[in-house]
Amino acid sequence: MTDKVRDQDKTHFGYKDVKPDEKEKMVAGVFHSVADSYDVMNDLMSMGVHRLWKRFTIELSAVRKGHQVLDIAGGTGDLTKQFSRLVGDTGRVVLADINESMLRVGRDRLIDQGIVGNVEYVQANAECLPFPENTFDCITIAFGLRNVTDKAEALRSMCRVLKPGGRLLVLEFSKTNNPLLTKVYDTYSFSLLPAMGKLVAGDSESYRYLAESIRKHPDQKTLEAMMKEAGFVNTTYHNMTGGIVALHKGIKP
Amino acid sequence: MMKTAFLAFLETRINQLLKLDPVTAEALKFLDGSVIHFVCLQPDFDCYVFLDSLGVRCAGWHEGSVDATLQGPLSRFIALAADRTSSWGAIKGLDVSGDQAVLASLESVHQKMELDWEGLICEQVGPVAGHSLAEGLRLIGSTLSGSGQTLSSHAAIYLEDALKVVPCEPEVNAFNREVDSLSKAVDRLSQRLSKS
Repeated sequence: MTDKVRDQDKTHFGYKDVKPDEKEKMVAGVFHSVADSYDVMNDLMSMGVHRLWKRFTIELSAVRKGHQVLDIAGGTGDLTKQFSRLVGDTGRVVLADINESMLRVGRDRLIDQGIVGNVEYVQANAECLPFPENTFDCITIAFGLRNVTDKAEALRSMCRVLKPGGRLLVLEFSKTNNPLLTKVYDTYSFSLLPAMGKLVAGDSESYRYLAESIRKHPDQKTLEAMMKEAGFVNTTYHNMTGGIVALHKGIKP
Repeated sequence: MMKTAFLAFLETRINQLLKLDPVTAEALKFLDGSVIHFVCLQPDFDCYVFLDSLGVRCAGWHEGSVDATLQGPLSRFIALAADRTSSWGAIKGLDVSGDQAVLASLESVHQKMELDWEGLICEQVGPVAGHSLAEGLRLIGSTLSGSGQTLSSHAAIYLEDALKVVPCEPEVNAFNREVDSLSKAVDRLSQRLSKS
């Protein structure tokens, strides 16, 4: 086997090089571990700002009554909850997550809040979405794409199930453009985050993976190019909190 | 991000206030699906308000059409909030446009809005203490209002009486003329005395 072929057979799990099927299992392990404390940790780690990032995503989605929405890697259902209100009785929101534990936590949480009727739950891999072509008006993936093994394949799969004119919104950690902010952010990510994970969720390794996976994730321009490559047009992105997070938007032609 | 945070805060507060007025909340249900665009010119700020059966939703971004637009400087929006009797079109400097039926409904809702502030106090301190506190506040309010009315009517009587004793302009002119002639007479008498 040549080096090139060997490289193609490998992907990364944080800073480690692993085989693609190993990454899936390892990512699954991380989310099985953090599922129960996911919301608390999100609030703690971002100091609540993740709610604003998600709010902006909702604003840009242009979702309205009767729309079909797919929330990939929907986790504990923050976006699904808002979309459920926007699409109304005539619309539908599908909360999809590859991880059974996250899906269970999300489903239980939404049902407890009385959000039923227009929400469906599907355990699905973003790389091979189990939906017919041209199904959804809007697809969102919030803080999920960096955990996907084959991102290009996932983007193509999303483009396939979107209706023409439908939009994809990718909310994901990205690259800061201010050196000082980058230094502070690195210190926070690699020192404080694992310590918080250990203290609150009893798991520092999962949060070390979180920091590492953010650094390995493509930057704003690269992700935009990947979206174009997957078939999206009119691609744009909005940096938030100094580029710590970016929201990419693409339209299916 | 600051705008998003501000709108999130605003949305929460508006929905909390709407919970204090079930009649208004019910009236807004008839406007379900309406989008109102608020454009503040000074300072430069705009936001979209979406009305639905669960309350209002504020957003800084909207790509679809809007049902009504209210545009003007901040002072005009404050005037609009404070003045619940005039029609919106009568507020100078505020440009109101869009679907007239939606605007008429909103104007009616605004004029009839009655917040159950007693309910808010009861939520914080309990029903018995809350009711007593509300009664106390009502008493203070009615006393202050009564005092204000008494002060106003007493001031009117005082001014009326004061005006009665204040001479009118012809009287003052006649008095001045009399003083002048008396002064001249005194001068003449003084001259005669000094000569004799």
